[in-house]
Amino acid sequence: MTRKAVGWLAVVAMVSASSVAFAHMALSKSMPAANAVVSTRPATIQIWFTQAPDKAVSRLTLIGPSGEVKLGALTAAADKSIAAPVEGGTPDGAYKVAWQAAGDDGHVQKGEFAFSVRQSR
Amino acid sequence: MGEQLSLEIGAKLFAYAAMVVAVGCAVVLTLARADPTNEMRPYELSRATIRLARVAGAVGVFALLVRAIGHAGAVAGPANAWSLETLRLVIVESRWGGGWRWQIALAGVVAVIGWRVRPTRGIAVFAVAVAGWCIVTPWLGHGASSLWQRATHALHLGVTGAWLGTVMVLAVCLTGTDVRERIEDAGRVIERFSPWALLSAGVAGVSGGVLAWTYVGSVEALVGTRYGQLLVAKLVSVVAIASCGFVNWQRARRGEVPSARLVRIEAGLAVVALAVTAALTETEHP
Repeated sequence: MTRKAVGWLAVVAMVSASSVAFAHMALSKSMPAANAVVSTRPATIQIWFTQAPDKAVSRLTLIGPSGEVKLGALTAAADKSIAAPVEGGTPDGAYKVAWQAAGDDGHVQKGEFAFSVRQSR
Repeated sequence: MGEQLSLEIGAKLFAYAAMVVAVGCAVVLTLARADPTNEMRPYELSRATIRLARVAGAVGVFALLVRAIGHAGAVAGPANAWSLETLRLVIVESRWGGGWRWQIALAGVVAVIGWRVRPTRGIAVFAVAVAGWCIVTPWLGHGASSLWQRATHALHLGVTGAWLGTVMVLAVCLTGTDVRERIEDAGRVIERFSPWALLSAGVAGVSGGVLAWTYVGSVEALVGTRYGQLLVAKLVSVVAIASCGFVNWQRARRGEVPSARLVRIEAGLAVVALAVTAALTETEHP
């Protein structure tokens, strides 16, 4: 009886402990942050996720006031992030970052966020 | 986007149905072969089951290829879904590429062995290939996150196949104009299948319950989210299937011939449950 109870407890504990960790991959933070107003030209766009994104299916696009801004090669880091250097010009204005990535389950997630550049003169 | 989602859900339904039917074929062939009384010469039923096993393997390969193309479409857009470069990206270069390759390969192996298996030989090899297919299926999707989830999903798929797959195989084998020779044998298989169906349904219920709680986590999420509502729909269809099975089990216990009509209703409900499951796996859980 005790052995059975311990077995059930182990199952419940295993399920309870794991239930927190199994959500889909989601964006946890970004640089520049969503809706931020930055005063210096962003050198890199970087996004952190709740799971390690697969570089093979990840995409980053930066759209500025005059259209798409050229980004360098995308890299994936061990800290569950993807990043791309900004190679095109980033004059003052509103920008939109569109991202695509997929985590452990392979479901392709897409999203976007905005930030603005107001360089000090 | 909606069309692509429908394509993925449709392809998943066929892939799951093919796998579940393949498991059912393995069970029916095993039960028909292992006749302790030697009263049964189940060649007609076994031949019909083998034909179904071949179809299941071929449908599985086709549905998995369509699913891979759907995944490629999600990665690179619908216009590029068919390009070899995108397919290579998904099937070879992505982290889940192994899951795709193994699933397609094992469905293919099931189809090929389906051509070699006979009512009295090759059944064990066929069953091992089908078990492999069940094991690699959770390497993609919600179950891919951890080893214990993969194991629980594989167990759930295997026992669901042993229960509903067997019902579906028997329903198909008992449909048509030329079934007289199969009916008597099918009756014996159903009789022998009953205790296994109870065990499989029980394990499917426990493993499904564990997984459901893992993904939903609360009663509020069960009724308040799309994922939870789909789960409730699946539960309702499974209870309906179990009720049909229970009625037939009672008939078998009373020594009456199991109702072929009820088996067909059960199989139809199993298709509904699989369709809901396909939609469930494409829905983000809370």
